[in-house]
Amino acid sequence: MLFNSYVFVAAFLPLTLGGFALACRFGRLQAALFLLFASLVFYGWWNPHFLPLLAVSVGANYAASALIMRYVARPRWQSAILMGAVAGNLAALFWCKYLAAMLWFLRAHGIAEVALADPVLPLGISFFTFTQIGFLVDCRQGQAREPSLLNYALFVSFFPHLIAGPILHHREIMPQFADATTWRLRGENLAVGSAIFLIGLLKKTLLADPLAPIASAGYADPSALTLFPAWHAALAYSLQLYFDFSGYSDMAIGLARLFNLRFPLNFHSPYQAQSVIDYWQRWHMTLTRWLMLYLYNPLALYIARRRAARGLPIDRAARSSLRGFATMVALPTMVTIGLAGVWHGSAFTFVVFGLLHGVYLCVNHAWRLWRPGPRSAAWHAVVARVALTYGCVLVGSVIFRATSLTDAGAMLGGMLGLRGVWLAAPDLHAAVGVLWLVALYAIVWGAPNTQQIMRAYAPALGRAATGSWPRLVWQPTLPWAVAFGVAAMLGLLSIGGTGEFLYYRF
Amino acid sequence: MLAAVMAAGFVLVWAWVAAMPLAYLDPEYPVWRAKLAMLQRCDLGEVLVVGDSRAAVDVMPALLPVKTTNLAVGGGMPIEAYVAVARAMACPVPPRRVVISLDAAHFAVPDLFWERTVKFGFVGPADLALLRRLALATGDASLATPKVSDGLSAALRGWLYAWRFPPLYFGSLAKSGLFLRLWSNQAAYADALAARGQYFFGRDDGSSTVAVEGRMAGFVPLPVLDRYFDRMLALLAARGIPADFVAMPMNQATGRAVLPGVRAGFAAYLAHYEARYPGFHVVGPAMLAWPDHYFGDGFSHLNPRGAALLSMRFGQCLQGRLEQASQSDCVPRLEE
Repeated sequence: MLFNSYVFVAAFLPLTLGGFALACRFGRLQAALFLLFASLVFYGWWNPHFLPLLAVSVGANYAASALIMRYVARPRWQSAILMGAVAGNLAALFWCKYLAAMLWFLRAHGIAEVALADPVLPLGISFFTFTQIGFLVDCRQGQAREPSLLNYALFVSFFPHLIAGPILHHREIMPQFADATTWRLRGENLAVGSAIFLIGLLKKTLLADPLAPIASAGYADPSALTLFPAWHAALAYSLQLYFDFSGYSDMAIGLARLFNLRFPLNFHSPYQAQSVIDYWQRWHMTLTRWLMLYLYNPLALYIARRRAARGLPIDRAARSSLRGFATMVALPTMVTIGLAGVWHGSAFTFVVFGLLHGVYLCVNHAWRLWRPGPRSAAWHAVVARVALTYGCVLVGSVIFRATSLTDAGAMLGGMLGLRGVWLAAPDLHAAVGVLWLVALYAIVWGAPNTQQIMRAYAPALGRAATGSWPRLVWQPTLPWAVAFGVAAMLGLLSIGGTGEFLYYRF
Repeated sequence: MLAAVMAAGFVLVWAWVAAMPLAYLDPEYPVWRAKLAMLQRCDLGEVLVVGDSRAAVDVMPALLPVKTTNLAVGGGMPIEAYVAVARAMACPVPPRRVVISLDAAHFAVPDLFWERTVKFGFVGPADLALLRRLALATGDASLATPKVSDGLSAALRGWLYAWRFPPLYFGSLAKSGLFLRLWSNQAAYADALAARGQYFFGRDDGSSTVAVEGRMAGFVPLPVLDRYFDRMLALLAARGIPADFVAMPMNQATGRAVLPGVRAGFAAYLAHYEARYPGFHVVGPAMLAWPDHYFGDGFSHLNPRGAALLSMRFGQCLQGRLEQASQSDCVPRLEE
């Protein structure tokens, strides 16, 4: 079930809110059980065959966490259980997401003759797998303990984050489950949650979705694109991805807020980033956090310990040497971001996308270590940094979107003008298209984001939103009610989609 | 307050969507509406043309010697043809002859049925109920199931289209700026009425783009479309109205690309129905090609010069067939 579907907006959400309000009257247990039930309905709506997979995953990981907590006095046993559970999670993920592609690759290159029909990817498997691996690791380190299966199951499967994140951390959610005020509907949270959800819905349906046909048409045959259409398609996709993910993250945060839960911030104007390091701290923030906590940090720590054991220095000066930089910074960065690329999918383009961002980050880290002086705060320097960062991200997004590296190369070639510069004939549609992109970039770089608009009500966990535009800070007032009434009407209308099938143009 | 504003706005938009489709729907809608208007008025003449976009473009009633109505539609399949014929048969004076023209792909691939045929109101809930029954009977849900996966059932979607539920029209509302298509659509509606249903797609001076038949690996009709084709021929046979199948030309590039199996399969399929219904005749080859310079776009729609040429020749043939004097092909075989 998608957040921007009729069945969700017109049926599932009102019924779930009503049911939750009713269940809260009977107590916390009943309310939590109801939310779990609703989440399973949400998950199984598209394909009920995947419900057992989710149930087994939750059950097995809960059992593993219970075993880890039971053998506190036997660290080796704990480690063995942890490794077994993590291996099981990764095996399931590999089977569903990567095995068919890998066998196809081996077959295509004549290495093996085994073939497997493309399995249908269970929704959200990467998200609930990562959430649970993080929980198990924290259990092993003594930082997590959850005796309640119900709480654990709800933490993993709560529908606002189940399909596309944010990737939750137990320390953010379990205390909220323990808070008695969570288990009754609250007017303020309904208002704030609805407003955030609406903003997200409009971003998705009005800003992101209309760009999809432009991007799809361009990426369908990039080898035919000259300079202008290539840039048009690449920028359209970059913005589509931005507003799509931003909208989805807002909707997830808003939905959780309706049920009195605050989710971590997952998206914070990433195209305003002034470096690629900054970009990854603003884009899919909970994935970055997960990768840092459970991949980068352990790897960097392991390398540092190995160096220390061999008597090698591990301080900043050591990182500044070429060899120290390569082992202590570049290696964990490339491994982490490389795997982050593969996390997005099994195509080879995702590997290259990850490695490219790994290179960006290494260059960025090197610049921080060896740059000549402090960062200038002058506006032109800020603009230059934002532009450079966005340019790097744009190249990455071309590789991310293209169906093959050949197509990615063709698109980048078109953007460099290798197939000519000018469009065939100026037309009204092209002019409107360009103006529309300009307007969207004005939103991306100039308008306050959702957290800033809703900052009076602490919309998400994590960094506190600041900013100017005080008149654009949401308040429960009449003008805002009217504005959001119009927005709600537009949101409801736009669920039907902004696409139009114009046969006459083909 | 939020709910009140939302509800009031929604009702206003719904009223606009229901009352003024010409103001916002895409430029093909007025043509469909003109055809529906002629059907509703039973203003059909002696010959009725049904089929797909090639027939809609290529047959110009204004150049024909007998009063003809062109009810072929863009992306038309046997289902649209059946609906048009069934409604025409309900008229007090039905046409004397029906010309059917569908390319091979429109028997085998569902086109934009929901996005246009249903959205434009060419079929209604009763037609969709029949479609569901036939889909169930044939085990072929390819047409009955909308391609979008937004959680709406096919029956509910059909009902919402019939009531012009605004979200289903939002794309058109947004792209038209609510009303900016009104004047051009009114003009297109008047033009389509004046041309008795004929309209053009591309007007280029030639096209060598390979059309859809050139990419078909074989000819396998969809069971549900086959059932509609059968029902249409059965209905015409029951009313004693003769029907001719006339293939519209494709460009030479497409003609060269069509696999022999596709050509033979399509011809055999039509021949099977010709043998089954005595009043049904395949006039000329099931597929034929014309020089590329007669085509106005990449979908093998004739340009105005090509359509005029075809219609002149088609008119002579039609006259002969009405007088039961001619057995010649209705579409000439042209070579470079």
